Amino acid sequence: MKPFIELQKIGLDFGKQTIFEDLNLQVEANEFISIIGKSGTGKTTLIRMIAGLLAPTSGRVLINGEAITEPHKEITYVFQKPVLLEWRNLLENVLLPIELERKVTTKDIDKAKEVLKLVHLEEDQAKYPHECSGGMVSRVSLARALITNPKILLMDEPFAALDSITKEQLQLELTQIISTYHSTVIFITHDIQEAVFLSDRVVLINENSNKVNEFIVPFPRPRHKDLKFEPEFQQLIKQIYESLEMIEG
Amino acid sequence: MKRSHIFSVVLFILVLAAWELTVKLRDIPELILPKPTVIVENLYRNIMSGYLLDHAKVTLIEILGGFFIGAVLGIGLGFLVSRSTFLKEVLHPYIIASQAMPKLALAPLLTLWFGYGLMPKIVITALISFFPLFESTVAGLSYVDKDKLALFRSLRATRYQILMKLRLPIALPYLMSGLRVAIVLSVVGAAVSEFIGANQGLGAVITTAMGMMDTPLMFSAFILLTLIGILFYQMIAIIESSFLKKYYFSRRNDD
Ligand SMILES: Nc1ncnc2c1ncn2[C@@H]1O[C@H](COP(=O)(O)OP(=O)(O)O)[C@@H](O)[C@H]1O
Ligand SMILES: [Mg+2]
Repeated sequence: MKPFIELQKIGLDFGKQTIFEDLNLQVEANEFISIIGKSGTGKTTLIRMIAGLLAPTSGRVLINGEAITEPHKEITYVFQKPVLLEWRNLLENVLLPIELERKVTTKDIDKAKEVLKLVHLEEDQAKYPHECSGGMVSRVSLARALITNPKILLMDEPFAALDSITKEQLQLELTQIISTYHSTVIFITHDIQEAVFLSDRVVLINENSNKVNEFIVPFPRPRHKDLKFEPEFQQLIKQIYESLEMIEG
Repeated sequence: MKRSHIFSVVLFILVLAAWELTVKLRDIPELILPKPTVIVENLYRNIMSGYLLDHAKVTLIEILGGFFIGAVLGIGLGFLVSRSTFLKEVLHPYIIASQAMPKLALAPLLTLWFGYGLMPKIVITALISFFPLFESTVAGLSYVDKDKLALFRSLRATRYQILMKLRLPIALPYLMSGLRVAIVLSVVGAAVSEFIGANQGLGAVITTAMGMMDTPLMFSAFILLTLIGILFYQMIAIIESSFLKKYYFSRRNDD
């Protein structure tokens, strides 16, 4: 079977700076993979290429076997810094993807309320972004990603700016949601524990942005939060941590 | 009413009282500086007789006509120019030059061309309100928020959708401040263009009163012009605060 998402021999330069030389990556349908790397290694750049917002200098990104040249219909991209429109309330922000595609129906509004409920914001739909905390804003941007039932979800350190309690909550909400929607997810993070808890596979990339190591996470999904205390889980984290230390020298 | 409002009113009354007293005690001639009570009496009498209202009507037509034409052209052209970087660069020196140009100084020339009727006044007023609107439209629509643009692109928005649902909402506060500046300048434009060759309008009343050494009447016309300016300015402010408030929201940065 051919992979759902495939990066073939990706090379990318920003002027004189080479970010990627020969990066290959394959992701199966319904797979959840995390990418870990130091900041500045090119994770955001990588995800922008998959999102169709940035063309690689060489190589191709294939979705379902087809090379992408512009943002793909099945892909939803959750930015590193949540971007909301300040002049729209939360409900209207969540409806934006639909509005850009077709006329909004009452069914869409019900759906928007439903996804807001999934991220526990059903009471706050009439609020405006300036009235929201950082955690709420992250939740809204997640809800906005979900309203389209995305087949592919690209998430760029979505929880990095949050406190650990909110982060943990959102991780659990995300695992619930993903298992409902059967999305394929590429998740960027620098938090090893988060990566292991959420994903089927963890990919490490180094300074030179080459994929250096891959770890399969053998636990079935959706996972219970107690998994974080299991010895096997801890063991895997340690393994990844050591591998990361090695590549960073 | 807020405390500060009460103080504003008290201050106003104090200034008027001081004015009245100074004129009375120092015996300043009415030709130089009339007493506030004399001005109010003059204003009341000339409004009641319909004299000032007839003239105000003419000035209002000039203000609104000029403002409307200037606004349509300014916003429309600003829209077009903001769409094209090339056009923006080509027109840039002219825009700078025309900002520096004292538009009011064109009034005699326009009177020469268009005669003594409403036309030259409306043209001047339109010219004067055109520029702030043109500028604020170009500035507002040219502003790019990279993150939001990336969001719209990732959602496969069309150019038209990006204009209507992203650039326009961001530009609205700029546009409204352009409107506020333009309406105030329109009042100035209409009045000053009436100084030159007009027998109707509040500006003409001022020049006529000057010729007749009727200083209280000059003040009356001046007060009416000021009231017209305040009225229009407030109308725009009310539109902003009742319909457009959300476009002024911005994400606070502290968490
Ligand atoms: N648009 C751009 N133009 C030039 N250089 C860029 C651009 N975007 C990112 N870079 C550079 O590419 C490198 C990788 O950036 P990024 O992908 O944001 O890293 P990460 O997300 O892993 O922290 C950095 O050195 C950054 O300076
Ligand atoms: Mg990044």
